Amino acid sequence: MSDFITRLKNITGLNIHKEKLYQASLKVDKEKIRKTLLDLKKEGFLQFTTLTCIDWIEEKTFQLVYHLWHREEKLHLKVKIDIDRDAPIVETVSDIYIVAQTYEREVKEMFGVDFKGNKRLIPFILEDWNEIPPMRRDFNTREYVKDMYETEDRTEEIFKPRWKKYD
Amino acid sequence: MAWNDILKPLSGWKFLFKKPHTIRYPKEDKIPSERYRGIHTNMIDKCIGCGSCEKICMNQAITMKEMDVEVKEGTTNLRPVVDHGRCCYCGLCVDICPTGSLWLSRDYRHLSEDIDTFIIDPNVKEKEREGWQKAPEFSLIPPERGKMEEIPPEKRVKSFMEVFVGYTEPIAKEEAQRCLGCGLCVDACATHMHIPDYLKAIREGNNEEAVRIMFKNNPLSEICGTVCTHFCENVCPVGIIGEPVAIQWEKEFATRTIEDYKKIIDTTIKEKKERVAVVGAGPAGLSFAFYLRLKGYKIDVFEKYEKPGGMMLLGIPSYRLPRKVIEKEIKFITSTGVKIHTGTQIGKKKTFKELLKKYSAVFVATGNTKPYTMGIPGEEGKDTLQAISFLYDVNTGKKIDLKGKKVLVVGGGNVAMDAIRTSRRLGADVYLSYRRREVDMPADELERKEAKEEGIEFMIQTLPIEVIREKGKIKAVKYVPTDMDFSEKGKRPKPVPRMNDVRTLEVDIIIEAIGQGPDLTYLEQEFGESLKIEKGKPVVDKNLMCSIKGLFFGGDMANKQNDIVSAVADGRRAAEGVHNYLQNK
Amino acid sequence: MKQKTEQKKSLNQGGKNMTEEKSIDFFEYFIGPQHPGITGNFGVILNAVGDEIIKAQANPGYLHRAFEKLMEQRMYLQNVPLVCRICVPEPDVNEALYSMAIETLTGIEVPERAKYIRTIVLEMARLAAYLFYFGGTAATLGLYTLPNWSFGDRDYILDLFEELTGARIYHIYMQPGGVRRDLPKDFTKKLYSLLQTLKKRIKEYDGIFFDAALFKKRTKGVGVINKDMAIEYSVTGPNLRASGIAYDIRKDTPYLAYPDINFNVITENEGDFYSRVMVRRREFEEDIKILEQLIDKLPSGEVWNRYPMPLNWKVEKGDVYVKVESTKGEYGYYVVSDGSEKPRRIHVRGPSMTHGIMLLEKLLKGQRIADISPIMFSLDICPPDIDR
Ligand SMILES: Cc1cc2nc3c(=O)[nH]c(=O)nc-3n(C[C@H](O)[C@H](O)[C@H](O)COP(=O)(O)OP(=O)(O)OC[C@H]3O[C@@H](n4cnc5c(N)ncnc54)[C@H](O)[C@@H]3O)c2cc1C
Ligand code: SF4
Ligand code: SF4
Repeated sequence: MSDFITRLKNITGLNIHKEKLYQASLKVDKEKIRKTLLDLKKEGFLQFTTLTCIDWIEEKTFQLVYHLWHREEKLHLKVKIDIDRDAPIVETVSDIYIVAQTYEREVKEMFGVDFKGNKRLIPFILEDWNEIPPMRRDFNTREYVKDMYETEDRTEEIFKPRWKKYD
Repeated sequence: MAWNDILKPLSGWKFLFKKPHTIRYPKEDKIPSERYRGIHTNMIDKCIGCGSCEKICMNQAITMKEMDVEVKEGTTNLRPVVDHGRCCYCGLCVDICPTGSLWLSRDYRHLSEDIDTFIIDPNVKEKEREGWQKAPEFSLIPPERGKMEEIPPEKRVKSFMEVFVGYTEPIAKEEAQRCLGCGLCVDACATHMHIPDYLKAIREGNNEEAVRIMFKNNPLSEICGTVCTHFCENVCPVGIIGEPVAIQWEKEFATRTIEDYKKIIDTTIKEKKERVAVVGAGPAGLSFAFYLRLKGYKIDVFEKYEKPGGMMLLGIPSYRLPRKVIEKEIKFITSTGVKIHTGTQIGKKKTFKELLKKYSAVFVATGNTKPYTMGIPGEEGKDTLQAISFLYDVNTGKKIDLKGKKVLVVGGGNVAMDAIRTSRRLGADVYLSYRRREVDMPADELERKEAKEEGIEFMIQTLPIEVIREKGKIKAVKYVPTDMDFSEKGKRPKPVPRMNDVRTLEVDIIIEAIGQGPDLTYLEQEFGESLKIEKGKPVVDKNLMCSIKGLFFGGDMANKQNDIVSAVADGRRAAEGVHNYLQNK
Repeated sequence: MKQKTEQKKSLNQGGKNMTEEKSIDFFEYFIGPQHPGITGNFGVILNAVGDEIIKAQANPGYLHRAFEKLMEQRMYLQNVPLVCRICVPEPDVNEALYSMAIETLTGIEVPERAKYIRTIVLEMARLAAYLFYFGGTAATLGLYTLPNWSFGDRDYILDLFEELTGARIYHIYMQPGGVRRDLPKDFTKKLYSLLQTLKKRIKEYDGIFFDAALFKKRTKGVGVINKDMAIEYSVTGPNLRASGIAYDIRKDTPYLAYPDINFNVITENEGDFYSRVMVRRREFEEDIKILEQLIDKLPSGEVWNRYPMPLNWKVEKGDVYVKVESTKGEYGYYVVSDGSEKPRRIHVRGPSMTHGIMLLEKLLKGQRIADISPIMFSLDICPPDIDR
């Protein structure tokens, strides 16, 4: 696997880090994502495993992680890009990997990231959704559930220190 | 495609007359497996109400409700009530429950249109229908505490250096993780230190915050971290499944990372004009002075000995409590502006009455100085020592040589432990006589273990009855073994001496460590009848004020526990009391 | 229902106006969402001319329970009872993956015995899931004897699960560092004798179903995925093997006890409905062999290396992707930790996300309405892992 990574580094000029298990990761600029994936597909990363979005709200970025799998070399590659949380838009890869279309649809719906060029960014799971995209960190599930279903949230009560009476 | 393939499916007909393998409900019933995770059951008397089950449950299915149960030491009156509409029967609550009182039964049927019936009170008296139960090796609480390095016994008996090396940062953090956050320890601590809070700060690596939390309730935190009687650890529920969280060592670790408390603790003071006097610079007097000083009062502390510290300095040997620790904390207390007048005994030249006139209030904490004696024939003599005076001599630097001498120490408390281990360090062969069983000893388990490691012989369940002297010098001690009498329920078992089985042990010196009481002679002389005394101790109200206005008592001389934290707690309470008293005057 | 129509509208807008594309009249059908022949609620919106489907749009979302969001709000251990609920027929892969991810992040070692026990559980779950699958496929074809048999036999596996884990479906048995309890007394014996019964039973299944002319005739050449298409659509698991690609995560990047086990990767070449069923049918026997080996080789010793007290447990910063071979394909967990008591992000990669949307839509095009359920079931789509 390490040989392959070195070879890959030489060919594509990408800075790939080997990680635990069968994994490696790679960070590229948002603009380069299409070129990178095209290069990688040529090198044999034929399986698009999944696309994850992580909301680093503190740093005001969304991190998109494209998971690719190379069957012969047994390498799971995580290609990461950071995008601005306030203007979340990135070019689609759904023409490079067909199935990416579905994953982009999901990310669009759950995080509100736009994929330029994806032909089918239509609603996926949610119905009549008027709030901010629900998987964003600033969407408060507990508040939502409280209003929606009128249930009580006892978290605070449960973790309230009993010993405050001695203050 | 073969003909065969068309006919083959007919083979299914062969089952037509076979017995069905399904369960014919309701004639037959399936009994769930032994590990089945069904509806909760909780032994109400075994449960201590720690609330861990409530915390681990991610569905908030458990609510701790106040119930009519007896609240013993280390328990609360809270018991779990389970909402089965929310429960997912994961059994995490069972696996974290430290007592094992909670289990999932093999009942799983509950049908009702009324959703309120799904809230079930699982508390029962007897065990029944056990399904998924606590398995000690799978308890979610790590049973072992972080290892503390200690100096090996052969090395430590040769000097008075500190036995324990102290926690390192990683171990301290790991140990602090074991805290369940139940707060039973806070109830048990005399001064109610906010233990879960400072453990949290420690595991987050914020030792400064931890120390700030400690000092809110205890200005002698480092000393307590070193030698406290740690009632908190005794009630820690983690102790039920393994070793309790090392609260004391955590405290020691955090305080020792701080070099100067002044830098991290806010001691800005808004001055008031009232002056308050303190008699005795032991832990009670010192913490009283600290907290009242923070409220702005001017404080004068009068101490008989030439150094402040009380029994911590004069009683506790330095291998347990290094002197620099005492100095560090007292330095911090005096840095707030508390004045300590050493070498000033009250009751002789200066009287209590004078103080009461000069000051707005007086807090007296002169400790226990009068040792009890056994009262057996042949006891009196120069070679029968009292533990506290013996330790006083050692601690004040008097040269005492016990090399090759045979020493018998009588008693089973912490003072006795100090006496035996100090004598051992001075070169003596030491025997310890205690009249009850070893489990009854008030002395700390760890100290007993260490003492044994240091080569001290424990004579458990023995009672000295006579001292044999030759030319005035002790030659031997006559003693008898005892039997335990458990007849009085709910009380400590009574030792019954076996008088017909007298044995002798040759010894050179006897040290008595069977307790001490306060010396109130000066006070009695000055105040006479107007000072109410009961069982040798002055009677005080909840503010710790006695029958004389403006005169407060605390520490060993007023409380029952006779340890440092209780003294600190008294000091803190009296500071509150004095403040209230002066505000309302 | 009203809401659904609104969504339908938007679906049509997004996917171009159909009538423009083809100037013939078509009907719009809604298949589902009440278990349209698969294990969960799921819908397909069809445009059909007569009996022929000209366009199919998958319509998931009826089982969305926001697991990924919930997991971000719970302490690490509290997620253990949650994850298994993502997939009903085969919940154990979720437990195994979640535990494996946390173990890789924290470096907690799993004792050998625990690895074996986990593998046993996974393989038992695989058998159970395949029995479910066999019954389901037969049912979608209108052959109702097999489901009665196979669901009954599956219950014997569930009985063993109940004995081992205390629960029948959602076992909540694996936890980071190992498993929650050791095997009960005589467990391996009981399992062994059950395996012998199943061996016999699968032959009986052959008679009424797998060898039956009806089945063969109905399924051969239906819903073909050829090799190229399988690769293009990132197909995984038995569906991929049915298209002739010998790829199995258990073999390629072996986890748990699989490195010690001998087994064959089963493939079929046609890539059609029949191959997809037969791959699983043959794997069933292979799995029985795997289980027998596991029982033989089961080491003794500890079954759990503990983690810190769960209420205060912080997991090291980092991210990790772990995957296992489930009966439906590659199942993966991507766990991101920011060093606090709660995970930053857990992404569940269910195999049905790839199989159930684009691949299904592609396969259904040009098929008959009566083939929808069988094709869906043959792909072993599990809607709960699409929605999560
Ligand atoms: C050997 C020994 C070991 C112990 N070990 C532990 C232990 O490990 N952990 C623990 O928690 N507790 C321990 N204790 C108990 C603890 O030391 C006492 O409970 C605590 O010191 C009591 O504090 P105090 O302030 O009430 O009195 P003291 O500490 O006794 O202080 C009283 C002070 O008042 C002074 N004084 C007395 N009379 C006058 C007067 N007339 N005028 C002016 N000053 C006066 C004394 O010189 C003394 O300094 C031990 C005690 C002994 C004797
Ligand atoms: S964890 Fe156990 S002991 Fe604690 S409150 Fe719950 S049932 Fe009682
Ligand atoms: S079994 Fe699980 S869900 Fe039910 S009360 Fe216990 S911890 Fe909560």
